[in-house]
Amino acid sequence: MAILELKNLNKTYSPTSIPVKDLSLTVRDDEFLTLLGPSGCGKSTTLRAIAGLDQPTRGQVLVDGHDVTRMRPGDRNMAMVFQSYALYPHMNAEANIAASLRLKQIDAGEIMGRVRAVSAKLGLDELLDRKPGQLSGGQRQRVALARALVRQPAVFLLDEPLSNLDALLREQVRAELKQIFEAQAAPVVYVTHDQTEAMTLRRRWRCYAMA
Amino acid sequence: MTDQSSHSLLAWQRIALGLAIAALLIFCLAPIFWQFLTSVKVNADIETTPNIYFPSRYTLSHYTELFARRPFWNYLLNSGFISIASTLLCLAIGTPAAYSLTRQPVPSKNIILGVILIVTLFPYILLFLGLLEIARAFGLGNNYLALIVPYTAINLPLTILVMRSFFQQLPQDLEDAAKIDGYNIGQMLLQILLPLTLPALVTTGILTFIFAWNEFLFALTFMTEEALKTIPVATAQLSGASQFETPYGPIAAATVVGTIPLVVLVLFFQRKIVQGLTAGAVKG
Ligand SMILES: Nc1ncnc2c1ncn2[C@@H]1O[C@H](COP(=O)(O)OP(=O)(O)OP(=O)(O)O)[C@@H](O)[C@H]1O
Ligand SMILES: [Mg+2]
Repeated sequence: MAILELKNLNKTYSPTSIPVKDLSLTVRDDEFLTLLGPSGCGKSTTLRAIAGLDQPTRGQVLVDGHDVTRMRPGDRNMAMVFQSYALYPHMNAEANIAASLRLKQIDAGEIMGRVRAVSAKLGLDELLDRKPGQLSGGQRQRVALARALVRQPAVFLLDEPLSNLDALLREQVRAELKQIFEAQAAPVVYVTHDQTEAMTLRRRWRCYAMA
Repeated sequence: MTDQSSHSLLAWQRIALGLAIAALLIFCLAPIFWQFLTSVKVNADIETTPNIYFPSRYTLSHYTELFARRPFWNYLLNSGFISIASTLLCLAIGTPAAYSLTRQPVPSKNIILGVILIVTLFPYILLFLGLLEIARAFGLGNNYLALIVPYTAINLPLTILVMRSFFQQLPQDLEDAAKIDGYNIGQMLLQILLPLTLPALVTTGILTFIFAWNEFLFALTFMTEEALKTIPVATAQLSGASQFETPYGPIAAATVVGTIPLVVLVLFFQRKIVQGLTAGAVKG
């Protein structure tokens, strides 16, 4: 459905700190790109530049050939899952998941349908009226995932979404993630510093080792 | 054995704590209690020496006098309107300003913050003569704006500094998530950040309200028309039948009447002040 392209993407903080050096790559809609690298090598910086949270110093971000480099994050039709989940603490899970759809003034019936579908897939049905403070780490992680999936965005960006889970849960969610994103026809960029994770998720996907 | 001694120690500590709290309460509340007692004493009991601390006769006549013979409802409304308007204005201007100074690239941000900090250290009485000239030049004498504008301005620096420190505590990821979800700055401020900083809003709002409600000097000078006076001024200007009589009873009653709205306000919002709402924002 969509193709994500980076052309000579560069982020320079200072002459000695250049976390993203002229990165060029293409992610097709059946691809799952894993960015792997040690802490501080610029994985999050790359992702934030793609999402539009930070402006790159040089280079372009293209979706389906359209230059989105100057667009606001909200207009790029990309969904992002944060390492800290970043759920809105004062809204219940349902409102968290539906927030972006409500902003687009989508018809209430359709919103409900989409939220139901996603929460059924992620096993969140029972938890929809709880606030993030009343959820476990794993449950919060699934709400954050649902918030991204429900938008059916052009591009998925995931920044170490499993790093706050314990080893057992991580294993399990990793398998789930793989299944879920195999079914999505959208490019996925997945950041991790965990090699096993990168290897498992890669499988028929590419893994891009940074610096 | 050890168990028992630790128990008795706890009991001893509890008694000491209770006594300390009681002493503090008496120390703080005695003047207010004295005003309250004076307001319900009959005139003869107020004036006798030695003092009668706990009277045997009570009366509400001082209160009825305030509302029947003087326009105290009117003063209350004036004070209420001016205080609420200043508070809302202060929050409406101060909150977006604080947000910009926290997260947005504002040129010479540190200088602006330094100036704001210096302004809070400035004794507001020193502004008085200048403001008087300005009020005169704009013909604002006997106009609610003559009080609302300075009250807002005086409280803005503190509002900005307090709100800024609260915005700094909010995780940046939350705002990034909101941006990606498609919130624009205004929507993000209203729907995401304000609900999370509600305790701070309420706290700074109450501080502004109390300042505006109690302010005396500006209110005395800028409002000379009887119908526009505020509670503190009206209370101070209560006078007796003759020049030599000080109407202690009505003054005490007016003080109590002027304090009740503040007490109600604080009690009403107390839960919001105490509550921290950010629990569960990020991993936990
Ligand atoms: N605002 C900034 N100013 C200067 N340097 C910065 C800034 N933000 C990040 N950096 C630097 O950029 C580099 C890349 O940071 P980034 O957050 O992308 O790392 P990361 O690969 O995501 O690491 P981690 O695995 O720990 O999350 C780091 O060395 C960091 O010090
Ligand atoms: Mg990172």
